[in-house]
Amino acid sequence: MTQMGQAFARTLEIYCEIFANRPKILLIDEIENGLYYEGMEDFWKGLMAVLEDQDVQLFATTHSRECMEAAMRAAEPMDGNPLRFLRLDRRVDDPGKIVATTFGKEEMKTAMEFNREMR
Amino acid sequence: MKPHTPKPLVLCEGKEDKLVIETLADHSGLAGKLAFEDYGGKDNLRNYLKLLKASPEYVRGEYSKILVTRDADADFSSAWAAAKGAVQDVFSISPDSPGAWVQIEGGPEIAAWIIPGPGQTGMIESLCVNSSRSTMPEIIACLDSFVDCLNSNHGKPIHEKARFAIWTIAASGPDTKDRLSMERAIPNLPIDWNHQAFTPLKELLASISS
Repeated sequence: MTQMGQAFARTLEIYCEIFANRPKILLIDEIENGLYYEGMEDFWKGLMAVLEDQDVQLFATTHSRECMEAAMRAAEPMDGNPLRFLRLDRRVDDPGKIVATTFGKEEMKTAMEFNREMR
Repeated sequence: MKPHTPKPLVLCEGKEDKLVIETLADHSGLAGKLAFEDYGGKDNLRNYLKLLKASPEYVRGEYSKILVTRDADADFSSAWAAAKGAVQDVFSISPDSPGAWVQIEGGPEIAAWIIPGPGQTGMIESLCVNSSRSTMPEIIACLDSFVDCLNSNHGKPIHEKARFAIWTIAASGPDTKDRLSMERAIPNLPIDWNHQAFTPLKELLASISS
């Protein structure tokens, strides 16, 4: 284990949590930590398959655009609509007000096509 | 934190539309007062509006108004119905007529505009050609004859005559780089930006920036 990289340890940690504790809902903060951007899509593919198989709902936070786009690419061939994005923004006219916006693969796909920032 | 002033956004059908409308705004003293984006073609409008509605800029309230523009092409009524329908689908509100502003609930005002103008067919290049008839009448006359000749002898009619004309004029420019890039060519073409063909669009742009 000590010879493996951070990404391996990170992935194993998440899988152990799923299989050992069998949660219905899993919360992961900054899910991209320890992952190299080129490996993110494979990470998401594996994780989404396990989540579906084990019937677990994941809420993950990230500041990484690469991570969002990798999740999008991983979810694209999957049946149904397994992925939703939720972003929190402050209103410029009322900085005390935080607005939650949810969007799915359709918007994310267009954003990627236009190289538009959705974070 | 620096206070952020919401800006009007003009959505343009394509790169050329964005380029021309942005240049028109600059010539109207509106440089820097408007934001412009192109939505990659009329078939992308609905998806782009959905994306816009979910974008950080929209949600944070960074747009004061949104003007959706598209070309009429061969049928003004269809173009208007399509633009109006896209706005209705995404924002659940429908503008009554081109250039009429409606308030999106919890968001900015929105309007749609069909180019070259109400009831007209054509595209952004039509405005450029119409406004250039006085500044380069001989060239436009040559192109009219050339297009007529092609239409008679080529076997296939040229549907986008104005686009063909503008590209041909740009391609005949003295600078090699201008010939290959509409972005470089447009500012150097002898377009009369004060021509009355541009007036309705200029007035609309001025009204959203005030």
